[in-house]
Amino acid sequence: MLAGDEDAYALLVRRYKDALYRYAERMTGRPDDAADVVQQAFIKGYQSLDRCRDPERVGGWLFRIAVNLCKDQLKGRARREVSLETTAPIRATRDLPEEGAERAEIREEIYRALQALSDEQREAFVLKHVEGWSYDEMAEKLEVSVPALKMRVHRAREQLQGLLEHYR
Amino acid sequence: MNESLNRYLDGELEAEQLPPEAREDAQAWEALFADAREAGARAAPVGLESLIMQDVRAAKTSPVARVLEWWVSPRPVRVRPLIGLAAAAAIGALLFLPSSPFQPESIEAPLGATTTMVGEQPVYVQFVLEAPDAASVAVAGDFNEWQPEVVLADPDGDGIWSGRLLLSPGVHKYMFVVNGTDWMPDPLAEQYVEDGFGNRNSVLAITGGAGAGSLAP
Repeated sequence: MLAGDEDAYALLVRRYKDALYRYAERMTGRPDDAADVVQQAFIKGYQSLDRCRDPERVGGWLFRIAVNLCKDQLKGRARREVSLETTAPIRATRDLPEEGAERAEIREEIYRALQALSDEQREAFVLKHVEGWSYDEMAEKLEVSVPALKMRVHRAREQLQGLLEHYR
Repeated sequence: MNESLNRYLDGELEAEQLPPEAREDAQAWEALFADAREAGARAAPVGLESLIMQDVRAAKTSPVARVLEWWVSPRPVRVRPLIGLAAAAAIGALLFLPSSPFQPESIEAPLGATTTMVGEQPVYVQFVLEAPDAASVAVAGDFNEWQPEVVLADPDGDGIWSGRLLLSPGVHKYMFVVNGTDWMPDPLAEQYVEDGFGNRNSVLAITGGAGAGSLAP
């Protein structure tokens, strides 16, 4: 796609906006901030399309822009105070209810527990276990070593285990 | 945490390589990961795409043209809903100070649907419908070409369905669609308008200032 091709870019926006938004919302914990991140990511992407080295992977390239924008967004923000009391213990996962209200509630609790992680831990956990990236991919895109990323993910899991009672 | 479990979760071991006592924990973690993938928003808010494309078109303009436009065009100020409301309240307080030089002779408050002062930027609007017997509730309106694709959620099963949409300032008509087929107006709307087919549409106004966005049918 040529830089400046507005119609083609609209297709990209339509294709990737939801994925970017889901990630940004998990990372920022705020819909308004997530929408800001997605908007900025697409604008930035549009303005620097010529720097996308691999057009086949433009989705990953946009995602990386969003990952960095989330970092910027969180840098200026005071650490969120999420008390453990507000994160109700999750039900035994060995006896998870089927789809329905209770399952939705469990997901909400997991979402809140994710917000209680440090920004770095949440980023590593979400990229690894929610987005399904490999450690090598993460290392390349975040410019952080694999051992450091593993440490972040391990700590995130430990934290979640502490927050979500039945994983202890 | 068990070392072999950590290695499995990191993708370094296969499930069969796990000691039997760690397998149940591994399944529990997989369930958590799956739920984490489903947690939070499933999609970007309606309206974000067009907002992005507006920005893309603006970004396409040459730097010189942008500078010229900056000087000659009114510029919308990005105001978030809560900040916008607070600012509106502050401006309102200033306008109505007894000695305020800005006090108008009279300001007629708009009637009808919920009105929010937000500047020119789209804002989130919460739609709520109490429908205890519904299997699904969607909202359709002139903002999404009357396609009932925006589905409201009732996560706790109490029959209160809700969802948020990103809407541009202006007057919007909408209806709820229950169970995919039953179109009904919002019982909590403050104003309705005939749709020309014997039904009534609900009306919602998001205005950029007092008097803007007339609610007249």
